[in-house]
Amino acid sequence: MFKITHLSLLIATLALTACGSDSSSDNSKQAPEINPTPPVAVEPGPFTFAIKTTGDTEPEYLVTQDSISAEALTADGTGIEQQGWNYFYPVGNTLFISGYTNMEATSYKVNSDNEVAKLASFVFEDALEMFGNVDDKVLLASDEPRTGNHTQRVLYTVDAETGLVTSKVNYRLHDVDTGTPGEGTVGYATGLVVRDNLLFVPFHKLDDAGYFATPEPNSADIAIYDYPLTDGAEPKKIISDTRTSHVGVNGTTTSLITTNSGSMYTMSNGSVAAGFSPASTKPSGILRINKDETEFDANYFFNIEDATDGGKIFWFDYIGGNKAIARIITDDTGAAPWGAYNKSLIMQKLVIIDLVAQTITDVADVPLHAKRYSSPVEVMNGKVYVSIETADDAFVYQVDIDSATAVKGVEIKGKTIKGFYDLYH
Amino acid sequence: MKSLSLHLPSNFRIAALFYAKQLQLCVKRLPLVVTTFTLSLLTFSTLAATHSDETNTQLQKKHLNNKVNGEQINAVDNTIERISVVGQNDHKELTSSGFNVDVLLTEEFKNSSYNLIQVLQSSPGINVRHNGGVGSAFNLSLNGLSGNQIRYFFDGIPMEDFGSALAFPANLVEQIQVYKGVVPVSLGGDALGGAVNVITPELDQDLLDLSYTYGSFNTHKANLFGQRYFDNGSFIRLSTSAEHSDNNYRMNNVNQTDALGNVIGQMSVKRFHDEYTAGMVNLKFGLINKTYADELSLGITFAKNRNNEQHTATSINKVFGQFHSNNETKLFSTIYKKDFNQLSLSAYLLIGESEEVINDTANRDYNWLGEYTIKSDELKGELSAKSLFTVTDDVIRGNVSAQYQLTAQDTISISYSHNYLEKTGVDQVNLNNTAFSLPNWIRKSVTGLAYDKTAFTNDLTISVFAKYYNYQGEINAEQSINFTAQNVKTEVDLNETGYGASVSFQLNANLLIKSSYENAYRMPEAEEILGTGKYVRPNPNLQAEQSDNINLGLQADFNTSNTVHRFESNIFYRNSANFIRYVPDQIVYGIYRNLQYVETTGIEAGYYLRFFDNYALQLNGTYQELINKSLFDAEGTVDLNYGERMPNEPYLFANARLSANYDVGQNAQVNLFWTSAFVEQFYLNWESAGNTEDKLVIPQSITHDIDIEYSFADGSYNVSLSARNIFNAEVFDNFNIEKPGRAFYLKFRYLY
Repeated sequence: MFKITHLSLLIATLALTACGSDSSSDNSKQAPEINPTPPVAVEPGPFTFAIKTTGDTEPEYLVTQDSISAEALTADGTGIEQQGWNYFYPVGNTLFISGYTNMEATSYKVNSDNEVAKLASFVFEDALEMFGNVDDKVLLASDEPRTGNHTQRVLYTVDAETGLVTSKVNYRLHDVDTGTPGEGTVGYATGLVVRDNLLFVPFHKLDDAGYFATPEPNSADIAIYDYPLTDGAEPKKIISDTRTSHVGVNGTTTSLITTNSGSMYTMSNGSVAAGFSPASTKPSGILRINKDETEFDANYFFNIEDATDGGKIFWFDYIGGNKAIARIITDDTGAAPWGAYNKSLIMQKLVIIDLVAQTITDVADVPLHAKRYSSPVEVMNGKVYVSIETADDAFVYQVDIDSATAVKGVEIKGKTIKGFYDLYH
Repeated sequence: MKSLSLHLPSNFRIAALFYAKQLQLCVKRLPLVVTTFTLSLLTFSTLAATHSDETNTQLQKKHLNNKVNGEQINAVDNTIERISVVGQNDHKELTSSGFNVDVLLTEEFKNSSYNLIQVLQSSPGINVRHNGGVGSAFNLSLNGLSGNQIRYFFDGIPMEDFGSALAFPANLVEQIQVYKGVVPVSLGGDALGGAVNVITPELDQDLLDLSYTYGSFNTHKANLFGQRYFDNGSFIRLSTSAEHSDNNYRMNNVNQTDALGNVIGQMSVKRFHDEYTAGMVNLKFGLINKTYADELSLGITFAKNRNNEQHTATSINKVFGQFHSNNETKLFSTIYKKDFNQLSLSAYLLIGESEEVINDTANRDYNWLGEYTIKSDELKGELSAKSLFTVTDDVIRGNVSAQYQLTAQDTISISYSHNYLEKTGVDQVNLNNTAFSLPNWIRKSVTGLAYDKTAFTNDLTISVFAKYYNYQGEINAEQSINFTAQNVKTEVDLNETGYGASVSFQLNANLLIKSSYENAYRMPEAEEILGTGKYVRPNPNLQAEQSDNINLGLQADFNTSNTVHRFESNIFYRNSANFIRYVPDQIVYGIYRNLQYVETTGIEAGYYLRFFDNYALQLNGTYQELINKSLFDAEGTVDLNYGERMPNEPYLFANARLSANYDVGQNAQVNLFWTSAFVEQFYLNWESAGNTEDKLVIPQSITHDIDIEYSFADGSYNVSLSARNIFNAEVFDNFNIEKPGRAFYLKFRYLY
């Protein structure tokens, strides 16, 4: 009659959400005053954003409004409520939302009433944690078992037009299994990118005892498959490069990006603050795979630490013209494990990277901030909207790509905005 | 004003009925005895003593439904204006104490198919949320605090960590005491929001109670309770129960999916993997009423269950067809009690083991139709990687209490409780699951000191008390420290001092006012402070949850020639701090922290009406505001929901019960009950955010139950037919997890 909650404990420990914080807060201290900032008009037309509120539970809302120049971006009285912590991933004009609580991914699209409304949903066996897309028409989603066991992954292929799963295949990523947990490694995907008839899956090598540690952090590794995958697929090839560390960081879906010219770029962080354990001894940097190639370009390595006086790249996404918008952790000295995933480390600066010229330009007038999850950015009229979170507040910034400048917008009444979407055009 | 005090043990219920100038006193000794007698009150000061003796010696044991006519002697005018019932030695008559305690008599529920948790819902201020049918997890909320903030006791022995198999057959239970917010030191525990103490019958009576229930969803319940008291002062008690339910009730809104998982519609299906089977044997024997002991007894309990899980605790999308758990619990206890003239002593020692096996070894993927596909990977179970996880809780628990009566009005008591728990975990299948694989333990002790005083011819009772909590623990765990797995030992040592007071005042013959306060603590659970060894990290700095609990209540009784009325109301306030919350701060790793601050203000009210001896109406309702008082969240970000109603908490609920009984022929009776329950809609998340039509809600719930009971041969034979949720309403306690619809139960009960 008095039930032990081991079941929920199992669920809690094995399927943890990726939210939370390491900061020990003193809840009883006084709330700081928030200075209102005059709203700045930026008008991309009806636009949608995914906002996470604050508090003991931090529900998320999908809000659509006509203008970004409202007094504040808020879910107060508006927005479609979601359950728990979610990934938001746009494919064309369809937005997929998938989380950890309800084992169900839901898609949203503008309906015949010209409103953002639910399109479809599908259930899955294990939480989907990595996403990609094919030509803005197909969503790829993969589960990522975290127990360290050498199990197969499942790749879901979903039609963005209908929101329906069209195929579901098992595949293997990376397994070194000695039979003794802790001696081998398992793969943890950090991207799903299709180029022609190949699928590129960068991954971390995690210990196979389930500690989520990175015992061999000093290489960038990408598994390459024939696409579409057949059931039970294994990589046709795994490419490695020892100039930097594992590609990507946990929870980020854009660690491998493709430019208009067909070249692919990876980003590597390798620091304790980004969840590496131990940290990589290789510098944080960017590697390239040239168009039609399936090897890293031996002549290209953009050493971020050299270019930014010791900074480490934590997130980037492609914004056209061989440019990426990125966040650089300027100083992670003494950072706690996973420190970049919460507000214990407010050390990220916003930059524009020219991937070909290998230059980094700080986006002016954006403060050092913390940011842990961004869904893929959409460029709207040459502008990118980002959520900038400092210790006490969060604001939207409108970034002009060409000039690498930003305009501070309205306040975000919540913890973060995970993404801004134009689902109407 | 003149009054009469009767000294009665706590299991006596007393009701005074004035008929013209006669005073009829009905003393009910539970569960089976009713003695009605009328007092002659010539020189009442001496009568008080006389009758207290007589009460003990002259009680006639008769079946409940057999009303006994005692002597009837005319009372002298209005000499007696009030009857108060005063505790005798170690027993306390609770309802007139300052504690906000509800004493629920289970007698009237024993012929019906309600279980004890459902009975608890008939107390104002309590709401119980179930996750399914028989054997499912439940969460009881008491004046806004819930879960492990409420502690459960069995004859005063704390029940935490006893495992899921332990059951309380209704016929083993004589009464349930519900302490709301303020808990006396005699219950040595760390109850933040109150305590529920289940009381079994007195041992000096011969009892036999057999019952069998059959009902919807292939539900069977059989109970046997027998107790024999021998002339040499020895006794033996056997209580056994067995129950089974398929719990295959209908779920009206589950996802209909195709082979790829696409949701192609909603459908109505029966649960197909939710069977619950449990059995328990409890044997107690010993000696009572000896010069050296009022009770010296040994108890042995063995309980076992198997619980099939249909889905996870939070989502009906994750459907299981094999996943299950088994629990096996063994308890050995010994109890000693003795009342000397002014000093009373009691002690218990309990040793127990509870073993829970969670079985996720089927590599299948089920849908709601019960169809499955084999997962291509044989390492995968239904929930996660295949696992056969055994968690063993070893418990040693003891208490020594003493009460000393300084004067007729002053009593001092002291109580020391000790509670040791060792947790061990083994996963025979998933070698990566190392939770509790190395030794770990906690030791929790509570020392309580109380002083009780009565004054103004017992119109005023005052109790002040203090509790000292000491908490120690140690976990040895393999953790990833500085990037390598190491054995790490974490020790914790935590102390708190709580205190409180209660006061009650009998304003006049009909009106009792009482108030109580406690600065209460809940010490962390083992997992919260020590972690599980791998993914849940220890937090040696974790503090106890703390709450300032205030109650202010009144009880009014008034009678007319044909009616008996009782009205109770209580205003409660809880200022709670440091609620322990799990923070998954490092993706797969997390830690428990003190985070949440909540302020609760509420009012509960109950009204009982008995009219023409045949009819009774019981109403109660609760309105409570649980307000978030956290200024900052786990990251130090301003909590924008400060001042808002806490999400996912019912705030308005009520229930009603109308009963009628008729004598039908010789020694036979028919009882009819109509029971209704109401819970107002509440939101899963914060109220202010989101479109109203897109918010996730737990809808308003209204259910009606009917019970028809027929008793004959002086109540020896009872048959009852129960209909639950007669209008087949779709009801939910938890988001999207539907509860059973209409159900019927037939119960047979024999008692000697």
